[in-house]
Amino acid sequence: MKLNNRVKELRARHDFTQERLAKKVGVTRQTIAAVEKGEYVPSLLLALYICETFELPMEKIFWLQEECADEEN
Amino acid sequence: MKKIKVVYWLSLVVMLLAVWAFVPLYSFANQFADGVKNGGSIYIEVSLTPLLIFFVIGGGISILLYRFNRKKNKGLLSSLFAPGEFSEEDEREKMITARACRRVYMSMIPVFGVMLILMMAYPFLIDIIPYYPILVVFILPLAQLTVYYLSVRKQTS
Repeated sequence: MKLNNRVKELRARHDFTQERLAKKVGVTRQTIAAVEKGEYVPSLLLALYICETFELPMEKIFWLQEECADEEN
Repeated sequence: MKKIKVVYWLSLVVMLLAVWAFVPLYSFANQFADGVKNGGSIYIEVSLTPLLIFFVIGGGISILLYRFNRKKNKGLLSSLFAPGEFSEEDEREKMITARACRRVYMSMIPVFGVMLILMMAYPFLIDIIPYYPILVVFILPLAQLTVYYLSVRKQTS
Protein backbone atom coordinates (compact mmCIF):
# COMPACT_ATOMS: atom_id res chain seq x y z
CA MET A 1 0.00 0.00 0.00
CA LYS A 2 1.14 3.49 -0.84
CA LEU A 3 -0.13 6.75 0.58
CA ASN A 4 -1.03 9.17 -2.17
CA ASN A 5 -1.86 12.81 -1.67
CA ARG A 6 -3.02 15.96 -3.40
CA VAL A 7 -0.94 18.35 -1.35
CA LYS A 8 0.96 19.77 -4.33
CA GLU A 9 -2.23 20.36 -6.32
CA LEU A 10 -4.06 21.94 -3.37
CA ARG A 11 -1.07 24.08 -2.52
CA ALA A 12 -1.03 25.44 -6.07
CA ARG A 13 -4.79 25.99 -5.97
CA HIS A 14 -4.51 27.96 -2.71
CA ASP A 15 -1.45 29.80 -4.04
CA PHE A 16 0.74 28.57 -1.20
CA THR A 17 4.47 28.17 -1.47
CA GLN A 18 6.04 25.13 0.20
CA GLU A 19 7.64 27.51 2.69
CA ARG A 20 4.30 29.14 3.59
CA LEU A 21 2.48 25.84 3.99
CA ALA A 22 5.39 24.49 6.04
CA LYS A 23 5.22 27.49 8.36
CA LYS A 24 1.45 27.14 8.68
CA VAL A 25 1.60 23.47 9.71
CA GLY A 26 4.81 23.81 11.75
CA VAL A 27 7.34 21.79 9.76
CA THR A 28 10.29 22.51 7.48
CA ARG A 29 9.96 23.18 3.76
CA GLN A 30 11.87 19.97 3.05
CA THR A 31 9.19 17.95 4.88
CA ILE A 32 6.43 19.40 2.70
CA ALA A 33 8.50 18.59 -0.39
CA ALA A 34 9.02 15.02 0.86
CA VAL A 35 5.27 14.61 1.56
CA GLU A 36 4.39 15.87 -1.92
CA LYS A 37 6.79 13.46 -3.56
CA GLY A 38 5.43 10.60 -1.44
CA GLU A 39 8.86 10.03 0.10
CA TYR A 40 7.62 10.76 3.60
CA VAL A 41 4.40 9.54 5.20
CA PRO A 42 3.25 12.33 7.52
CA SER A 43 2.09 11.68 11.05
CA LEU A 44 -1.64 11.79 11.75
CA LEU A 45 -1.18 15.15 13.44
CA LEU A 46 0.63 16.70 10.47
CA ALA A 47 -1.92 15.24 8.06
CA LEU A 48 -4.73 16.76 10.17
CA TYR A 49 -2.98 20.14 10.17
CA ILE A 50 -2.71 19.98 6.38
CA CYS A 51 -6.42 19.06 6.13
CA GLU A 52 -7.28 21.97 8.42
CA THR A 53 -5.23 24.37 6.30
CA PHE A 54 -7.00 23.35 3.10
CA GLU A 55 -10.38 22.97 4.91
CA LEU A 56 -10.91 19.51 3.46
CA PRO A 57 -11.56 16.11 5.03
CA MET A 58 -8.70 13.64 5.23
CA GLU A 59 -9.96 11.35 2.45
CA LYS A 60 -10.02 14.25 -0.02
CA ILE A 61 -6.31 14.83 0.44
CA PHE A 62 -4.81 11.48 1.40
CA TRP A 63 -5.76 8.03 0.16
CA LEU A 64 -4.25 4.58 0.03
CA GLN A 65 -3.30 2.97 -3.24
CA GLU A 66 -2.39 -0.62 -3.93
CA GLU A 67 1.18 -0.86 -5.16
CA CYS A 68 1.67 -2.71 -8.46
CA ALA A 69 3.94 -5.76 -8.46
CA ASP A 70 6.12 -4.00 -11.09
CA GLU A 71 6.59 -0.98 -8.83
CA GLU A 72 7.66 -3.18 -5.95
CA ASN A 73 10.45 -4.77 -7.98
CA MET B 1 20.00 18.88 8.07
CA LYS B 2 21.58 21.17 5.45
CA LYS B 3 24.71 21.86 7.48
CA ILE B 4 25.36 18.27 8.50
CA LYS B 5 28.16 17.87 5.94
CA VAL B 6 30.04 20.86 7.38
CA VAL B 7 29.44 19.71 10.96
CA TYR B 8 30.59 16.18 10.09
CA TRP B 9 33.88 17.36 8.56
CA LEU B 10 34.50 19.79 11.43
CA SER B 11 33.86 17.01 13.97
CA LEU B 12 36.18 14.74 12.01
CA VAL B 13 38.95 17.36 12.08
CA VAL B 14 38.53 17.81 15.87
CA MET B 15 38.61 14.04 16.34
CA LEU B 16 41.78 13.61 14.25
CA LEU B 17 43.44 16.49 16.10
CA ALA B 18 42.45 14.77 19.35
CA VAL B 19 44.16 11.56 18.15
CA TRP B 20 47.31 13.55 17.38
CA ALA B 21 47.14 15.37 20.75
CA PHE B 22 46.61 12.18 22.74
CA VAL B 23 49.72 10.50 21.34
CA PRO B 24 52.17 12.60 23.45
CA LEU B 25 49.79 12.32 26.41
CA TYR B 26 49.99 8.55 26.11
CA SER B 27 53.76 8.79 25.90
CA PHE B 28 53.69 11.01 29.01
CA ALA B 29 51.62 8.39 30.88
CA ASN B 30 54.01 5.63 29.77
CA GLN B 31 57.12 7.52 30.85
CA PHE B 32 55.50 8.47 34.15
CA ALA B 33 54.45 4.85 34.81
CA ASP B 34 58.03 3.67 34.01
CA GLY B 35 59.42 6.27 36.38
CA VAL B 36 57.08 5.21 39.19
CA LYS B 37 57.79 1.50 38.62
CA ASN B 38 61.58 1.96 38.52
CA GLY B 39 61.67 4.41 41.43
CA GLY B 40 64.08 7.32 41.73
CA SER B 41 63.69 10.60 39.88
CA ILE B 42 61.15 10.83 37.10
CA TYR B 43 62.27 12.44 33.85
CA ILE B 44 59.57 12.98 31.24
CA GLU B 45 59.98 14.38 27.74
CA VAL B 46 56.93 15.07 25.61
CA SER B 47 56.05 17.38 22.75
CA LEU B 48 53.26 19.78 23.66
CA THR B 49 52.82 21.13 20.11
CA PRO B 50 50.03 18.69 19.10
CA LEU B 51 48.18 19.45 22.33
CA LEU B 52 48.47 23.22 21.80
CA ILE B 53 47.33 22.91 18.19
CA PHE B 54 44.43 20.72 19.34
CA PHE B 55 43.35 23.31 21.90
CA VAL B 56 43.65 26.23 19.47
CA ILE B 57 42.02 24.67 16.38
CA GLY B 58 39.76 22.25 18.27
CA GLY B 59 38.70 25.07 20.62
CA GLY B 60 37.89 27.34 17.68
CA ILE B 61 35.84 24.64 15.97
CA SER B 62 34.07 23.79 19.24
CA ILE B 63 33.07 27.45 19.72
CA LEU B 64 31.79 27.46 16.13
CA LEU B 65 29.79 24.27 16.73
CA TYR B 66 28.47 25.61 20.05
CA ARG B 67 27.24 28.83 18.37
CA PHE B 68 25.62 26.74 15.65
CA ASN B 69 23.99 24.55 18.30
CA ARG B 70 22.86 27.59 20.33
CA LYS B 71 20.62 28.63 17.44
CA LYS B 72 18.91 25.22 17.41
CA ASN B 73 18.74 24.50 21.15
CA LYS B 74 17.24 26.71 23.78
CA GLY B 75 18.99 25.35 26.86
CA LEU B 76 22.66 25.85 27.67
CA LEU B 77 23.15 22.14 28.47
CA SER B 78 21.65 20.94 25.22
CA SER B 79 23.73 23.53 23.33
CA LEU B 80 26.87 22.21 25.00
CA PHE B 81 26.20 18.49 24.82
CA ALA B 82 23.75 17.88 21.95
CA PRO B 83 25.81 16.83 18.92
CA GLY B 84 25.93 19.45 16.19
CA GLU B 85 24.84 16.79 13.72
CA PHE B 86 21.44 16.50 15.42
CA SER B 87 18.72 18.36 13.61
CA GLU B 88 15.22 17.80 14.95
CA GLU B 89 13.23 20.77 13.75
CA ASP B 90 10.18 18.70 12.83
CA GLU B 91 8.83 15.13 12.86
CA ARG B 92 10.62 14.10 9.65
CA GLU B 93 13.99 15.28 10.91
CA LYS B 94 13.34 13.54 14.25
CA MET B 95 12.64 10.33 12.32
CA ILE B 96 15.82 10.72 10.26
CA THR B 97 17.85 11.31 13.43
CA ALA B 98 16.22 8.33 15.14
CA ARG B 99 17.00 6.03 12.19
CA ALA B 100 20.59 7.28 12.01
CA CYS B 101 21.01 6.70 15.77
CA ARG B 102 19.65 3.16 15.31
CA ARG B 103 22.26 2.54 12.59
CA VAL B 104 24.99 3.90 14.86
CA TYR B 105 23.85 1.62 17.69
CA MET B 106 23.77 -1.38 15.35
CA SER B 107 27.27 -0.59 14.12
CA MET B 108 28.65 -0.45 17.67
CA ILE B 109 29.16 -4.20 18.18
CA PRO B 110 30.81 -4.91 14.77
CA VAL B 111 33.11 -1.90 15.23
CA PHE B 112 33.93 -3.08 18.75
CA GLY B 113 34.76 -6.51 17.33
CA VAL B 114 37.12 -4.93 14.80
CA MET B 115 38.74 -2.93 17.62
CA LEU B 116 39.28 -6.12 19.64
CA ILE B 117 40.85 -7.88 16.67
CA LEU B 118 43.09 -4.87 16.00
CA MET B 119 44.17 -4.86 19.65
CA MET B 120 45.47 -8.41 19.14
CA ALA B 121 48.13 -6.92 16.87
CA TYR B 122 49.39 -4.62 19.61
CA PRO B 123 52.09 -6.98 20.97
CA PHE B 124 53.60 -7.12 17.47
CA LEU B 125 53.45 -3.36 16.97
CA ILE B 126 54.43 -2.18 20.43
CA ASP B 127 57.97 -1.22 19.32
CA ILE B 128 56.96 0.35 15.99
CA ILE B 129 53.79 2.17 17.11
CA PRO B 130 53.80 2.44 20.92
CA TYR B 131 50.68 4.63 20.85
CA TYR B 132 48.74 1.99 18.87
CA PRO B 133 45.97 1.63 21.55
CA ILE B 134 45.13 5.34 21.16
CA LEU B 135 44.59 4.83 17.43
CA VAL B 136 42.37 1.80 18.10
CA VAL B 137 40.29 3.57 20.77
CA PHE B 138 39.55 6.46 18.39
CA ILE B 139 38.12 4.07 15.80
CA LEU B 140 34.84 3.89 17.74
CA PRO B 141 33.91 7.62 17.71
CA LEU B 142 35.21 8.02 14.15
CA ALA B 143 33.08 5.07 12.99
CA GLN B 144 30.03 6.37 14.85
CA LEU B 145 30.38 9.84 13.33
CA THR B 146 30.74 8.37 9.86
CA VAL B 147 27.84 5.91 10.17
CA TYR B 148 25.58 8.70 11.46
CA TYR B 149 26.58 11.07 8.66
CA LEU B 150 26.20 8.46 5.91
CA SER B 151 22.80 7.38 7.24
CA VAL B 152 21.47 10.96 7.30
CA ARG B 153 22.93 11.65 3.85
CA LYS B 154 21.27 8.54 2.45
CA GLN B 155 17.89 9.48 3.92
CA THR B 156 17.97 13.07 2.74
CA SER B 157 19.36 12.60 -0.76
